[in-house]
Amino acid sequence: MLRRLNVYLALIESEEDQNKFEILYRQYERLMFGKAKSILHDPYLAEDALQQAFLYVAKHIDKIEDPISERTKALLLLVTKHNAYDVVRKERRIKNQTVDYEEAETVATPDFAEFVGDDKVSIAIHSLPEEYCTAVILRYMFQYTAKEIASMMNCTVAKAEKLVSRGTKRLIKTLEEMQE
Amino acid sequence: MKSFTKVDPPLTEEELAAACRLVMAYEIATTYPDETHVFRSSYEIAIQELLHKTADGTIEPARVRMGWQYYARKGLAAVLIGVLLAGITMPEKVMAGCKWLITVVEEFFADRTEYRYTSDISEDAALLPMTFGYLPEGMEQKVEKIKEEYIKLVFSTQMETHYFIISQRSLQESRVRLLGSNLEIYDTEIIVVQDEIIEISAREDNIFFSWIHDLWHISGQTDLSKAELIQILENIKFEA
Repeated sequence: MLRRLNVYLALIESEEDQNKFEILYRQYERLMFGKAKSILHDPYLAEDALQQAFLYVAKHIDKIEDPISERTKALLLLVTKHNAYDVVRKERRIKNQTVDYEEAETVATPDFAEFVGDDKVSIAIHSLPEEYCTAVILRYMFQYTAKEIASMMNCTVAKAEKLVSRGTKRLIKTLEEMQE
Repeated sequence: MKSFTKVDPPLTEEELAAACRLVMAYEIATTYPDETHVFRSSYEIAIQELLHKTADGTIEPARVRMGWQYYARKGLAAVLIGVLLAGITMPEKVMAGCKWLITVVEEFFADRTEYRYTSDISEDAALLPMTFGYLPEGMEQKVEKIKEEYIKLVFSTQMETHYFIISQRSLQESRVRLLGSNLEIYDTEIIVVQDEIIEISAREDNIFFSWIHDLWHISGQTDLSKAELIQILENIKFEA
């Protein structure tokens, strides 16, 4: 455990950032692992996703202002979720299965609708396929630029722009359908 | 603040951000930490490798991949700026380059340019002689050469103050220059007569014209005015 922590800390240059990363690591590791495992249903794959997620956090620690906050927790869960879905996509490619974005789509459960008080925009966002959903949340909630989204989602800037644009269009289309 | 007006009421970015926060609040509320898991040794080894890399300073910083679209856009912008600057500093060379490009396109893609010419008339069709519905006052026919594939008529006034020469050839026989091919050399313009395109070019006091009608190339020259030339051409008929 200590070794792992040292590795992550070695990625961080300033002492302040080291403390920040340490806090993040101690505070959220188990939660992030729980998230990855809930998606992958495999502890080893979940470890891979978690490792990638922490690597991202170490490289982008400057983006985290307050380690103990709901916003940071949300960002870490989003990072973990995206990396977990990345693992899903890689596994499918290895097994020669076609990657179907619709399949990875999150279903807006009755629980979710109840949680958000039937907020149509939230339901529309939640029903987006994972990549679109992540891109839209990074853009509008975290105010990330296309470059930052690309860095976080490990894709090209052009793809990140496309994900935000198409994600937003799909979101608007879903809202229009809801209004009809 | 951007808003999305397609939906009613329009959705603002702030509302969108608030909805995103709700989605993430749900994620947080429904995610539970796994306190029992023991990380496997391969995971530890992977971490060891990371440890070495970071100790050696060989771990790669987060790189942003821009994608080919970005480089294509940048490249296009650079080319456009280059052309713009060249246009400002060396306009003659840029114009010459443009003309060369137009010539190349016309030569290589003649069939695809607007100057493409097609006809429904059979290639064996006989030459239909021209008849003139209008000739300027005093203009008389002086010379006539008629062959199977070629007609040449010369008109002039009594005192030979004005002249008008017109010839009609089969397209197969005639070495027709492409319409538009001399646009850059002479003061040339394209006019439409009898719903067909005619190229006329002025050189000194003479006007030259070139007209492809069905399978025939009609060309000639005159020192009459452009208006009179157009009137003559407008009233030409091709009759058996």
